[in-house]
Amino acid sequence: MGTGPLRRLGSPHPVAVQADGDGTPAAVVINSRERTVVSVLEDWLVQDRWWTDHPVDRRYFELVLDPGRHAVVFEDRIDGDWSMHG
Amino acid sequence: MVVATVIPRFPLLVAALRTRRPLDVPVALGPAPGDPQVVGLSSPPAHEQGVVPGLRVGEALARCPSLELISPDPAAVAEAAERLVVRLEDLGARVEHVAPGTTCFSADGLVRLHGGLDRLMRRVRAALPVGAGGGVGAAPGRFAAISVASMAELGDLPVVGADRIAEVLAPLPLDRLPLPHDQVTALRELGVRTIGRMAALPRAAVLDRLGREGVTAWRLARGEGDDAPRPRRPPHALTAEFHFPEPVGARSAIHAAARLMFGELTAAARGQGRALRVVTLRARLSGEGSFERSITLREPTADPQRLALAALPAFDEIAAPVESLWVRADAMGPLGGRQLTAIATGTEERRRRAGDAARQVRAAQGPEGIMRLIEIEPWSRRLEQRWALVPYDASDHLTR
Repeated sequence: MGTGPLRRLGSPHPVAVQADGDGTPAAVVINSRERTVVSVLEDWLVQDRWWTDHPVDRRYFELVLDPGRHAVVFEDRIDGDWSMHG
Repeated sequence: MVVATVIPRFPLLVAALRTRRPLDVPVALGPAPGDPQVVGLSSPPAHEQGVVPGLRVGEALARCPSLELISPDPAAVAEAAERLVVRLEDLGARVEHVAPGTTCFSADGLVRLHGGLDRLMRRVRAALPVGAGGGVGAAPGRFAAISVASMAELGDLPVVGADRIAEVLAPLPLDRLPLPHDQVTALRELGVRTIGRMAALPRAAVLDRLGREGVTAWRLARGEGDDAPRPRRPPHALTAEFHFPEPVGARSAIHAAARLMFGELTAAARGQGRALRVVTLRARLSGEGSFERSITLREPTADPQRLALAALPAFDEIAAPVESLWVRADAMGPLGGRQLTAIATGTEERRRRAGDAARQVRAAQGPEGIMRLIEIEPWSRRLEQRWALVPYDASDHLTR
């Protein structure tokens, strides 16, 4: 038996994000279509597992995208990549 | 003749190898997570500075400021000990596993097979881990053979005949005899510090002061009344393993993974027409260290629910995030030896129907056709850490 039987919910997947000057997302590309950010509901930092070889340092954004889709994205502040939950 | 192997400080040796620490500097086994703050086995340089097993960590560091503590790794020790026993069994021996690194077996029947006792002992020495400093010795009884092996110098293969046992054992410390700790302490206070001094005591005095246990030890000290090895019965071992994508501390996730493994093991045991009797649970902990518990079931079972009832509470003792779980069960019991009820209860009937339904959904939709949602760390700020899906298990769900 390996890791197969346990499947995490909400695992992040890579996403293309256009950010403005201060790093706030301005648009997110979903299914090859660019969705403009209508509003940023909340943003927060997550710094975890800093005592291990795989530290987590993320800046999260809870967004409302055009035309009303809700999304949670984050920038990995270690490698600079963007990911989206769900 | 009985042949024995002894690898001194085996648990420390294994933990040091895993963490790549040398033993020619002061190191000792530290306390396991959640255990009392005392040190375990220590390396010779640490021992010379007064670091002995059972000493409080603070006191040990005061006595030896350069002391480095290594997390104990009972799972790795058990694996290494099992490998040693299997290598000896491969020589044709019926081996008794006395303690990790300490084994013995009767050489009767093997001496001719290997072309003499000396050749057999050389092959036994070759089966020991390289560089572990293990000793091999032979004597007519179990206790004497283990004692002789523990004294064996590097490159030496001592064989002690019945007439010399008492003489060879005489200089060894008293705590080698199978005596309770308080009796050893009392005897030391009376000036009896070696096996030779014990052997010189009058039998009547030993019986009066120490009882029958004392007389048994006294006879061993005199080279009499030694036992034959009690070899293990090679088990029908079934194992299951589960690796978490990331270390997990949540009880629900550990239980869900354990239930999956119990289901797999009981199904395998039923397939062999046997039931499970002894279950060993191991967890590799995040960072260094591991957890191990062995559970002997009151009655052999092939029912995953009964196995979970007996074994799951042991996982609650784990005090650190878990990287992987490993369960081994010895399928030694008869299947269906005892029926607990003649009439199925309502819960059992519902569980059976739910199990049938789940199997039908899986047959139609694939293995992930029906899943159960479990909490991993619902408080985590990383969303992917909060929830997970595991295969639906009717027995788990319907007993709640």
